[in-house]
Amino acid sequence: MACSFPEEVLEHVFSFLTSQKDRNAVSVVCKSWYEMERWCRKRIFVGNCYSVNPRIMIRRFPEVKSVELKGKPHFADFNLVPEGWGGFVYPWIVEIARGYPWLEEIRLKRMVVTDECLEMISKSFKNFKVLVLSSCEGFSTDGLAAIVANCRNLRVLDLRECEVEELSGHWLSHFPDSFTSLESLNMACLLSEVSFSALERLVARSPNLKTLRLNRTVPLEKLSTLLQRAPQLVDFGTGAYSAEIRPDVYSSLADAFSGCKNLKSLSGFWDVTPAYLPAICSVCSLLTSLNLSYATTQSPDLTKIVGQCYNLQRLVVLDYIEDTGLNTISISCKDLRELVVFPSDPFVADADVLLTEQGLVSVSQGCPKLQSVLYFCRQMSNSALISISKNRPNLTCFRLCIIEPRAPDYVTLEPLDVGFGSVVENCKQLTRLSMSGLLTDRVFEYIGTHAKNLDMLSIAFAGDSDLGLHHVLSGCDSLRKLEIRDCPFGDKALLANASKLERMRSLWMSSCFVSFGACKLLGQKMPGLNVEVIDERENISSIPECTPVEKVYIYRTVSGQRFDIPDYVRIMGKDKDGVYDLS
Amino acid sequence: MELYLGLALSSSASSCSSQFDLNCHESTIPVHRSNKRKHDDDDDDHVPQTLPLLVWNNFCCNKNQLNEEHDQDHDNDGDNDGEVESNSIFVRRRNIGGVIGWPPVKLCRRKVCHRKIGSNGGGSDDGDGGGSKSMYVKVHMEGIGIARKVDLNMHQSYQTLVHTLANMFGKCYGDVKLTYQDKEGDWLLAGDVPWGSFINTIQRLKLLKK
Repeated sequence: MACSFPEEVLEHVFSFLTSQKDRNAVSVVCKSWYEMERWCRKRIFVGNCYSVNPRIMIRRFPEVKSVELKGKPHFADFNLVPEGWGGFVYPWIVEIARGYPWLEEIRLKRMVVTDECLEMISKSFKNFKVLVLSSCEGFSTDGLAAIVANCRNLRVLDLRECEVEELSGHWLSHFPDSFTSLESLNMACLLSEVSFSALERLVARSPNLKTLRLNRTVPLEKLSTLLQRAPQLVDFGTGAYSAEIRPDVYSSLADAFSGCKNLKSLSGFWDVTPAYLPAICSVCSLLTSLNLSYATTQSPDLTKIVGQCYNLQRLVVLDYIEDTGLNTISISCKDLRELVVFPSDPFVADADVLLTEQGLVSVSQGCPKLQSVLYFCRQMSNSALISISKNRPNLTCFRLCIIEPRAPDYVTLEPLDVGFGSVVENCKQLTRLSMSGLLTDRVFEYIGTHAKNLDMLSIAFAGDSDLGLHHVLSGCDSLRKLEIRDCPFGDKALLANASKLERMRSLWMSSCFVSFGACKLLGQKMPGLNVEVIDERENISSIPECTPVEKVYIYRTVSGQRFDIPDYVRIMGKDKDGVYDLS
Repeated sequence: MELYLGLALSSSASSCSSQFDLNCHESTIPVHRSNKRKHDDDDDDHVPQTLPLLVWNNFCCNKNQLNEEHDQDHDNDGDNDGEVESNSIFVRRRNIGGVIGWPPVKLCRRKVCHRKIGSNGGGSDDGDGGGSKSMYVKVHMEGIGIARKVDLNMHQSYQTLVHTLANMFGKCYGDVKLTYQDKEGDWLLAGDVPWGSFINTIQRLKLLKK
C-alpha cells in the first residue's frame, strides 16, 4: 500500500515530532516513512559515542543541525574510569565537519575535547550557534579563544564542570567587537580571571543575553555593573560572593538585582559573606531555580533566603541547610520539583550538621510536586523511606547516598531492603534510582518485581549473591543503564541474562566478581556487544581465567571494534578486526 | 540464544553450586581474598550484617599506584584520633577514606570541601595516618596530551611529589620542573611556599621540561 500523503504533508507532520523516541518509532512504520523521516531529522542524540560510527549516522541522516554525544560512563565522575580510557570526540568532529557543513549545535558530555577539535569546530561550521560541554576535558583556554573568535553566529557557550587547562583569561577578549548575538555564556568552571572591561563590553553589546554564569574570580563589587548592563537576564551566576561589608556596595547590589524583573535562576555564591545574601531578596519570589551548593554558610542565613522563594522549583544546597531549613522549605516552597542536598564534608563519618532523614521526610510531606531527589545524609531508616514513598508516589528520580557504605537502618539495625522496596512499589513512575546503605538480595527482588519503568539504576556495596543481579536484569523491563560497584555479583547472573544486555545501553561493573573467562565468553557469544575489560594490573595475560576483573564495561554497539583503546582496556572475545576470537 | 552455564568456567563464588539455581535463596557472601592482606578471622562465612568499612577495602583490587587506597595495615596500631578498630561497627570521628570514588561526589565539589578542610587543619601535620582523605589534582606533562591525577595526600614534601610525577611520565627527576596553578589562577614555580600553604592553594599541576 503506497503512502497516499504527499511528501510535503508528511514532512510537515513530522516536523512536530521532536523527541528522538517518537522519530525512531515513526521511522519503522514503513519504508517510505523511514525515508521521509531520515531526510528531515534535525537533531541526533547518541548516548554512547562507541555505539555507532559517525559515518553511519551521517549516511542515514543527511540534514542534521544538532548533534549530542556522550562519552565516558557515569562513574568516570567519581574517578572510577582511568585516564585515557576514551571518549575522544576528534574522530566525530572530523566526520561531521565533512558531512554536516551547516551544523549549528554540538553538545558533548564526558568527552575528551582537544584544542584541535575546538579549532576545527570554529572553522568548519559557518552557521555554528551552540556549544555545550558538560564534564569534558582535554582543552585549554586557547581552544575557547578559537571558538569565540571564529564563530560569528555563536549564541551559546556553556561550559559545565569542565576541566580546562587555563593558559590565560584572554580568551574572552577574542569576541569580536561586532559580535552581538550572545544569548548564553557559562564560564563558572574556569579559574582564570578574565578582563572585566572586556566582559562588561560584551554584556553591554549582547541584547539577547539571557544566561550569564560568571566564574569565581569576578568580585562581588563588580556584579552590580554587569546586572545594570543586562537587566533582561533570566539566569545569573555570581562569582565569589564575598566582600567587606560596605553599605554602598550592598545597596547598589540590591538595587541591581531588583532591576532584573525576568530573573528565574541564580547560582554561583562561592565563599559567601552572609550579610550580602539578602541583597537578592527582591528577586526571591521570581526564582524557580536556586543553586547555593557552594555557599558554605549556616542554616539560618540560608533558610531566611530560601524561605522567601515561594515559586522555587529546583533547589541545590549543602547539608548546612539542616533539617530545620528543609522543614521551612516544606512549608514555603510548595512548587518544589527537584531537591539536591550535597554533603559539606563528605569524608567524615560523623555529621557536623543536623541533617538527617527527617529533612527529606518533611519535604516529601510538604511539597506535593516533588519528583526528583538527590540526597546525601548519614542516617536512614526503613520507616523514613516508607513515609517518603507514600507521601510522594509521583517521584521519578530518587538518589539517596548514605555516606557510610553498608549503613543499616539506624533505628532497627536491619537492612534497608524494605524501605527501598517501598520506594519502587509506590513510585510507579520511577525512572532513576541510586541506592546505598545495607542492602541484601531482597531489595533486588523488590526492584525486579516492581520497578518496571526504571531506566537507570546505580548500586554500590550491596547484595549477597548473583541472585540480586539476576532479579534486576530479568525483572526491570525498561532498564537501559546499570552501574554497579563493589557488589558480590559474578558470572552466573551476567551470562544467564546476556540477551538483556543487548536491550540496554550499557552495564558497568567494578570491584565485583566477574571473571575474565565470563567476559571472554560474553564477548564471543554476543556480537552486538563490546565487552570491555578495564584492568590496570600488570601481566594480565597470565592471570587465570577465573580471576575477577577489576572493571568491566559492556555496551551494545553497531560500530564494532574500538581502535582507540589504551593498553589497560581489552575488548573481549573479538580480535582486532572486530571478528570473533574463538581461541 | 541460550547460554549454558558452567561452560568450563570455575566460579570464584565457591559457595554456590555450578548450576545456577534460581530457587536458591541462601544469602551467602562469597569471599574474595586479595593478595594484599591476610585476613585471619574465621568468620568469613558468617559476615555480620553490618560490615565495617575495613573488610571491603580488601576486596578492591585496584593496584594503580596513584589511586592507592589507604593501607589499613597501618591503622590498627596506635590510637590516633580517627582510627578504626577492625571489628567495630560505628566509630566516632572516623574518616571515610581509602575507598575510591566514595561518596560519589564530583571532583569540582570535593575541592570546595577540601578547601574547607585544608583551612581548618592547616596547622596539623598529616599525622592522622596520612591518606585517610584523598586529594586528587590533575597533572599535565608538557608535550603529553593525556593528563594524570595524583593524590597529594600521599606526599609530605615537594621532593617525593616531583619524583612520583617524573616517574609517572617516564622522565628523570632532574629533567623536570614542577609548576602549579593556585587559587587565584596564577601559575607559580613549586617549592617556594611551605608545603601546607601549597596544599591549601593548589588547583592543578604542570610538569615542564628543564
